[in-house]
Amino acid sequence: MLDRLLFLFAEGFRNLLRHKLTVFAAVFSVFMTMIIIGSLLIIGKNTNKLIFYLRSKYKIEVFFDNDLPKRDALNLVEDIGSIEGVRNTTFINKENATRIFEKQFGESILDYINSNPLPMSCVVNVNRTGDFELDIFPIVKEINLLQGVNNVEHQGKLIQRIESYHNRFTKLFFISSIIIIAITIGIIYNTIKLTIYAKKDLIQDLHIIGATNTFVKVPFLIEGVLQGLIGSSIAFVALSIALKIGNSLISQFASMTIRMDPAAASVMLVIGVLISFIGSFLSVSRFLP
Amino acid sequence: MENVTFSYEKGYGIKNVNFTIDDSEFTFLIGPTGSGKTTIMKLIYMSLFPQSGVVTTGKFSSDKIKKRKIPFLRRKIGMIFQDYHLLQDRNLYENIALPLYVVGTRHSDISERVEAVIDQVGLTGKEEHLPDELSGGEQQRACIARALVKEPEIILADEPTGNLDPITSFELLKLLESVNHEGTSVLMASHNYNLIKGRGHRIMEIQQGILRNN
Repeated sequence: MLDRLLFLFAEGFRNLLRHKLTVFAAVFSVFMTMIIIGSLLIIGKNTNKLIFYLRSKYKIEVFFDNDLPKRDALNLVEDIGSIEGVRNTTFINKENATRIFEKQFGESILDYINSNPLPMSCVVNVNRTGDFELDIFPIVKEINLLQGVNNVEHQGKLIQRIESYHNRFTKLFFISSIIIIAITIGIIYNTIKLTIYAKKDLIQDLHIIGATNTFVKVPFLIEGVLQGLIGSSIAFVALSIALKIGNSLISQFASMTIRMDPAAASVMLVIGVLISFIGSFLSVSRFLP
Repeated sequence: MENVTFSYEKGYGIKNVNFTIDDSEFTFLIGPTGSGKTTIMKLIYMSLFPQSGVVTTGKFSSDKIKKRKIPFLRRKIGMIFQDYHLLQDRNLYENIALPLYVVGTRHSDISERVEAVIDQVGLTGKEEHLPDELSGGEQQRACIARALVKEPEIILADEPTGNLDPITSFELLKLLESVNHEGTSVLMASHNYNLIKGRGHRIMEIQQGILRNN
């Protein structure tokens, strides 16, 4: 049994060497597919990181009416803190507002105006648990309804736009991956079909000397899987080199690095092998019934 | 074969054929081209199935056999063809070893058995040669070796001397007879009566699909 398995594996390997041109076409297709899918995976993963970063910086600034007594402002902060989706609040009194102003602009506003015009305010941090799109508009709406709130500042629209682009990109990634995978399966299918035609004498002879269908089919499946493995491995190496070069270029003007997730690398290999297996399985099932 | 009839779409085939081949028997099947010799061979190794009647090969019967069992029937049969059917991208050794991998022989036993049959058919020293590098007679000997290596119960030789000169044909016939002496049944189809006459074996004659003389 083991000897037979070894023989079938050896046949699969030999097939790769015997049909160099068709094998090259199949390996190149898998390589191109995995370069595209791998790039999309890397872009997707790094975009996700950016989105998480933006979400972590997400905050709402609430400015109270200028004539609101401090005790009422503190009550308002407490009310805001109890709104669903609010993680915590930080109250900023008039004195702290002056200090923040001075920190940001380098001069104290009291040097120009006798009385402090800055209102009391509070910074609201929202809950960020889970990998979901943030929607702060219900919170903003509820805050706006509170008596004593003068103005609510937030980056909701900007972040909403980024999230929407991110969603669109994810959908595009998914659809284009499906299309590319389907095309590659078709190419592998045809490569194996050509190999089967080229080896029709061998197949006929194998059947005549008593080979079972499984015995005849397995080398073709192994050949297909090997094509996938080789194509996706080369794509992985090429992407790693490209990332290394890209990162060294980026490092000259930014402190950011683009990384390839080890999981993404495994996904690439698995997808490459799976695509080739499906392509060769369909072909073998169709042409070697 | 019991009352076997088979016809192709174009109308050729065999009609109501009956015969039995005993163990260790050497039988010639003669008839002109298109008379039905190859059809009989194909019916025996169940590449074709009769439209009526029954073909029984060993313990396998054409009316009962399941498709997945056909490979096991063929492992009991050694096939030899006029056009050799050797794999051009493998050397002599690999061609002969192939049936043993198919039946699942242990790797350590394969070498010994292949060398033995190569010696039996007189091709020692040509193990590394590709089929293209062998003469017609040597290629046909290689086919016999490939048939013999799995120790079949019967050898079906379909016009094995069709592409060979008279001397090589005679040598090949003697080789098949020596195989038969060791206990393997042989059914050899030929249209060359001069080659087979006077050999002391049973001769079946087929014409236009009908067995005339058994």
